[in-house]
Parts: sequence; structure tokens; C-alpha cells
Amino acid sequence: MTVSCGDKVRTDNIFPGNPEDGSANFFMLNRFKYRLSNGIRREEMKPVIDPKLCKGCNICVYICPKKCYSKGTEILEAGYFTAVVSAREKCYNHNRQGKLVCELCVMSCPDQAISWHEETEEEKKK
Amino acid sequence: MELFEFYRKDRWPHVFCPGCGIGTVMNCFYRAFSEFGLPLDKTAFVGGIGCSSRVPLYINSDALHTTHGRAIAFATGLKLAKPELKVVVFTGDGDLGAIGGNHFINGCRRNVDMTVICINNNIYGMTGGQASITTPHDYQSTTTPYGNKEYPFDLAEIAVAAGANYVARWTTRNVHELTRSMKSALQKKGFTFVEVVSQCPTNFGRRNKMADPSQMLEWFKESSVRRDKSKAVAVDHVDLNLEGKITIGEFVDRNRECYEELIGVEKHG
Amino acid sequence: MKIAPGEYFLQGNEACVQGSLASGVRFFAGYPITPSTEIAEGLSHRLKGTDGVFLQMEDEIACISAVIGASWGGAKAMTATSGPGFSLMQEAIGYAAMTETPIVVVNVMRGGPSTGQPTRASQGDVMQTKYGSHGDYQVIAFAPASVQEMFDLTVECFNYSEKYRVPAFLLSDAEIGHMRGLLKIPAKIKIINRKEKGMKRPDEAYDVPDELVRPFPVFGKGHKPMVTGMTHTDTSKIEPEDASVHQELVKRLSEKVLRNRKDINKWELMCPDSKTMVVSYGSAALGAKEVAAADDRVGLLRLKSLWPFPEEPIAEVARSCSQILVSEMNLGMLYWDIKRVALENGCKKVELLSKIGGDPPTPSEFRHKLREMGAI
Repeated sequence: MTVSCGDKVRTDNIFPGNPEDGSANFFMLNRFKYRLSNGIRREEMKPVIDPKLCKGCNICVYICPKKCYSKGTEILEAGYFTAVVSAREKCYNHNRQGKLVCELCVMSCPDQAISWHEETEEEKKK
Repeated sequence: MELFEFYRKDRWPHVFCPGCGIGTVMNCFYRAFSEFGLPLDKTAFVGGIGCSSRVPLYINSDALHTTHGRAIAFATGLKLAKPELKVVVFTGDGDLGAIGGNHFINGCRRNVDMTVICINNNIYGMTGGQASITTPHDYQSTTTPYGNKEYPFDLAEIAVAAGANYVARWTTRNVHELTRSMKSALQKKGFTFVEVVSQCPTNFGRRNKMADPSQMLEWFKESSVRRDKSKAVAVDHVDLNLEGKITIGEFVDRNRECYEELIGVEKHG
Repeated sequence: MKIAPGEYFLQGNEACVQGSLASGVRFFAGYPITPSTEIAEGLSHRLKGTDGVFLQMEDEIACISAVIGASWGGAKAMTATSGPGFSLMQEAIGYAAMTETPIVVVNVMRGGPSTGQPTRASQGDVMQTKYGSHGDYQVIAFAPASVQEMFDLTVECFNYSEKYRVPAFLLSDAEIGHMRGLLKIPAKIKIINRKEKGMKRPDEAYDVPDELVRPFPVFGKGHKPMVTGMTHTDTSKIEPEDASVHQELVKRLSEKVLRNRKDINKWELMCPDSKTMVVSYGSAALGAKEVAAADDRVGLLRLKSLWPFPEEPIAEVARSCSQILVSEMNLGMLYWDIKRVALENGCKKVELLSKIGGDPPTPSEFRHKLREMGAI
């Protein structure tokens, strides 16, 4: 199943098998470096919230279908209770080879505070 | 396109409230525009007055921030004087449908080649929360403290009836569909209209027991009903007031001749 | 297509059409209103074959907005209306003044207020031209009194609006607009185009320094201007809260016109040494012209430009004469400013011949009034 940007995606369950309960997932079974139809390959990425931009509206907490975010408890640089990335490994893009899917948080954030950064080597090993 | 190739870096970050839907619409538009692929040098952005109309001032291109309600009239003049420019108009519900109602329906009728993105937050946000022409019946605002006695307009339906070439309505929850709609609207010739039902937690939500942006998004989720162009909108859309629903989808995608073709000005473009 | 140079017998409104075509108008947005409809009809006919666009918009507010938008798109743009439409356009005219957009608005004045006398003349909009929109701004306005001047002053309107980046108005009236007369179109007409940003200064010497009139950043050429009606700085930063930015901007908008009054103001003098001078403009001056031509005791200062207010010619006339008769087709609008200048400059007696109802004051009415004043 190929997914490209702008396609209609059901936000509650994108892949037939849920990776968490250990059931089979087409991408995870594929041992080869997977190339999508337009040839883009991405390294593992993680979502990062920029504390200078986040205004603590918590839309990301609400909209993420895998509940990767949670409400912040500290006031950070912008003067708001900045949201935090609490469960990075639940994200659909975690440990993916290939193009990013489900960028609901990035698209919904009104302050453009969420972006994808490459995981560091230690984070990749986790 | 890089983020600060598209936005003006010296005016960043923007001043919209925490949780404002306009930020979400800007993300979708940025993505749709990057995919559309036209260079920013060949586009001009026009806005009226209001929070939604401030979006053109953040984009790194020619921006015309005009008087209240007349954005479509300015855009008509600009487009016909320079047909090679792609003109995109950002307005709000009051700016477009109330004071600008006449220009809106005539713009749809005249079918000048432009894309209008109406960020409908059901309120006059910038001035503090007065009732708008799309404020639902019985809802609170600063000028309707006993509940809105009037019934709202359905802007997308007006566009369909007045003859726009492409009409779609989405909410800020449907980011992927909205992005694709905006791209179709940009690519299509003629007057294309995308209405985005968006949250204004500060001035609308807060007075109607939906102070948290996620409460407003939940309200959108419960009220939206999907209608596609295969089903005629004017005939079987669900009335906003009686059952409190918002129809979303791409309503119309037709190929009426655009005004430039009709008067032959395209040749000069 | 415009007509070739030569002599023609044309209507005033048609002469205005020819004047705009001679200046290179490329965009016209109009709405039908008596007595200016002929301008819209003429341009709808004659813009075909040029690369110009004619639009009939849904209302006058849309007309003026489209004209301003077209000007930012690089076209010389014009609209034509009368009293009721002119009142509707005021907000956008203030916007054009604030954003320094060159536009031309032809106001063929009719009897007011409100619907008034659609087919009769008046001069009731002369103050509204300068003071119609909210806030402080200066505009340029010309008042033709013949068919030839409808042509000439339309060309001047375009030239001055482009040179100073300011809205320019042609204050005609139903009499001049509908009268037919001789029009001589010369072979060579002086045209001034806007000083565009990024282009070399044109050969015509622009004697307006850059700090008063900034080069115009036309859309679509990569300048990326942020055009807004809010208070802004030169680099188009929006600063509505800053008092000094607002003062600098609004003062500059006025200064650039006021400082160049000598260049802009135009007038016609007949018998300047007379003891009694008639100061008038437009149709109201036609009767006085006949009286002054026949009688040496009476002179005429016919103002061809009304805004910026022509203090200098009136002051000069007031210094040498002993009484002034102001003639207007309204209940006294420019009269008070003329009186102020005259009293400041030594002329103690300033009277008003005001005539409303549609007809310009006749020569016999002038003679009657002058007899009352003891001039003849």
C-alpha cells in the first residue's frame, strides 16, 4: 500500500496491523531498504516541538491518533505550558524507512512548532 | 519550498492566538502551494481586514492588504491589469460574506481567475468577538449576549449558486483533504473558492463553552457530514441550524469560462 | 483605439475619453450614473483594440477598488462617477492616498445632496474631494470649463497622479460633461509615467526628490511590497502603534503635494488689474468670462486646479484689487477659503454669488450682482 502526501487517510488506523500488539506489518516485514514510488528515502525521524514557538494550545495532544504528545507542565521560553513529546516510539513515522506518513501534528500545529529531526545514533539504537 | 522562502522571516513568528485555526490553514496552504510549484514571484496575495486577512502579510510575495470586504474587487483589478499573475485572496467570513457579500457573489458570477480562501471562524475575531453572518443560531457573542437571533449564511452554497468554478468546504481537522483541495483550487482556472471552518478559541470558543481548541475541534468532528460532488449540494445538504451540522467536501468542480477568456485579455498575459 | 490628432466637434465626456486614451489608460472600471455614463460607454467601445480592459462593476465601491488594484498591477487606471457614487468611493480614496496609489477619478458633479438633480449641474462636491475620507491627506483636483479642457485636464490628471503617486480628480459637471464643442487634439502630448522601483529614472526630469515620492513597486516584478492602509514605514513595516512613524508618514503624504503647489496649480487670468475681480471655476466661471471680456472694470481669475488649494494666485489678485466676487454653483464651499486668503492679503470685501438648481450663473446675473457691489 503506497501512501503519498494529500491522499485521504483514515486517521484512526492507517496500517492493517498495529505494530504495538506485535501483529504483522507490511513495512516491518520488509527487510530491504524500501523505496516508495517517487523514490524518496528518509532516515528515521522524530518529532520535535520548538519551545520558542509552541503556545501550549495542545491541539497536537488532541489530534495525534497514537497519543504521542501530552500536555506540558513547565512554562518554557515562549511563556506557555509547552506541550511535550511523551511517546515518540508510538508515532507512525518511528522506525520507518521511506516517506513520512501521518503528519497530522505538523500540519495542525498553528504555530509551526513541530518539525522532524533526524534521530541521533543513541536514539536509533533504543 | 523552504519555510522561510515562503514566509517572511522578519515578520516571524506570527501573532495569531494560541490554538487559532489560521495557523493550521497556513500550513496546508504552504504545502499545497509548494506542490503546485508556481514561483512566488508570479503570485500576488490580497487580503481584506481581519485576522484571516493578515495571512498575505506573512507570505514572501507581493501583498495587498486592502479595505474591509473589498478584497475580491481589488483582486479583480489587479488580475485583469496583469493577467500573468496568479492571485490568491485570503478573507474571513464577515469580510467576505457580510460587508463583501456583493463583491463575493459578483466575483463568482464574473469568474475571474483567482483563488479565494475563506477562513470561517463564525465570528468577528479581530474586533473582539462580535456576531458574524455565519455565527450559528442561539450562540453567544459580544453583540448577541442573549443568543444570536439570526440564522447564518452558508458561504459555500452561495458560491455554488453564484457560479464559482470550484467550491469546497473543509474544517481545520481535515488537514490532508484541505491541502489537496487547495492544490486543486490553485490549479483550476476561474473563480475557485475554498472555505475552511476554523476555530477561534479566544473570541468564539471561550464565550460558547469551548475555550480549549480541542473542544472546538471535537465540535467540528461531531458536526461535520461528508458530501461529495457526486451528490448535488443544493438539493440534499443538511441544514446547519436545524440539526447543527456542517457539510464538508468538494461540492462543485465545473469548467465555466473564466472572465479573461471571455474578454480576450488572456492573449496579453 | 483613440482618434487621430486634429479638430473635432465632441461632447465633453467624449473629450475626457480621448484624453484618457491619449494618456495611455489601460484599465477602466465604471458603474452607470448620470451624467458620467458616456465616459464608461465611450471607453467600453474604445478600449477594444488596445491592451486595456473595461469592466462594469457591481457598485462604485467595487469600481474604485478594482482601479486601485489595477494600478498596483502596473496599469494607468481610471473610473468615472457622479455625486452619489463619489460618496461611496471615499473609503477607498483614503486608502489610495495612504498607499500612494496613482489613480484618476472623474466626478461629473450633479445636483445634490442625495439623488438630487441627476441631469443638472452643480459644484457641490468640491470640498468632499479633499475632505471626503477620514484623516489628513492631500489630493490633486482640476476643474475644466470647456470641452478642450476636459481633454487637457484629463491628461494632466494622469500626469500628476503618476508623478506624485496621489489620487487625482477631474471635477467636471453635468453642463461641461454634456456640452458639445471644439476639441483640438495636438500631435504631441506630454505624458508622465510613474517612477517604477528598479527602473532607471526616465529622461523626463523628475524634480520631486526621492524622500517625498518613493519609487513605485509594481506587482509581479519581484519587489514583494506589503501594501497596506495601516500606518507603515518606508520599508513597509507595519507599525500602527508607533506615534512617530504615523506622524512621519501622514506629514509626508501632505508635504509631497503641498510643497509642489507651484507645479500643480493652474489658473487663467483675465484683466488682472481691475478693481473688481471675479474668482470662480468650472461652469460658474463661464458667465463671468463673458462679462470680463466685454468690460474692463471687471477681471476674472478662473481656477483650473482646485486642490491643493491655490493660495498664491488668489493672494496675488487680492493684493491688487479692492473687492472680490466668488461665484460657485453651491451654497458657498471654496468661498470661505478664498475669503480667508483675500482678507489676509488686503482685500476687504469678498462677496458670494451662489447659484444652485442646475443652471450656471448667467452674464446678466453677474452684472446684476456686480452692480449691487458698485463695480459697474
